Amino acid sequence: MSLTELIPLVNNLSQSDKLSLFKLLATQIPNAELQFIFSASEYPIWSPYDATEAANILMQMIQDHQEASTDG
Amino acid sequence: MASTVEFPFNDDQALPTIPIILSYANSSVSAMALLDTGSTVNVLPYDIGLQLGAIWDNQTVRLPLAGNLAKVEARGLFVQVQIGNLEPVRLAFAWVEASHVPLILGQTNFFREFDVCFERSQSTIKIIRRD
Repeated sequence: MSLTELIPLVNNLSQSDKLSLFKLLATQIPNAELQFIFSASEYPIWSPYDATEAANILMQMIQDHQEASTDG
Repeated sequence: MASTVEFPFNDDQALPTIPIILSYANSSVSAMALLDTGSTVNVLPYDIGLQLGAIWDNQTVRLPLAGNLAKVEARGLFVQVQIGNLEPVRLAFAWVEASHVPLILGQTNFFREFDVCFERSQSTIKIIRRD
C-alpha cells in the first residue's frame, strides 16, 4: 500500500487510534530525527502581552487627541 | 445606529477573527482582525498601514513592544475602524515595521471601546459598543 492510499485511511481514524498510530511510528524513528522534527517547529506568539509602556503612550496619544478636539 | 453585531465563530475555526474596515485619510482597507485579549495594544502590520496611505516617517510617537515584537520598531497611528454596521470608532494602533504579523485588536484601546462575548457553544462572537 502506498502512502497516498494510506493517508485517507489515517484521516478516518479516531483521535485515540491516531494517537496509538503516532506512538507506534515514534518507536520506529530514531530519537535524533524525532528531536529534529519537533525542534524545527516554531510557534511565534505575536501578542505584545506585557507592553504596558506602549499602552501608556497610546493612551496619552488618545487623551491628547481628545483634549485637542475639545479645545478645537 | 446598532450597538451590537454578531459574527460566526465556527467550531473548527482555530482563532477568533472578525472582518473589519480600516480607514485613514481617504483610503480604506478590509482585513481580518484577531481579537486578542492577551495583547496589551492594537497591532497594525506595516503593509496595511502603507495600503492606507500612512507615511512611516511622519509618525513620531515610538512604542516599545514586548514578546516576539520586542525587536520590531513600532509607531503610534490613529485609524478609523468600522465593525459590521456599528458606528466607526477611532482606534490607536502600534504600527509595526513588519508585515508578517497578524492584525491584532488588543486591550488598548479596542477592548476599552467594545465588550466582546466569545460564545463558541453558540458559534458566535458578539461585539458590543460601549456607551
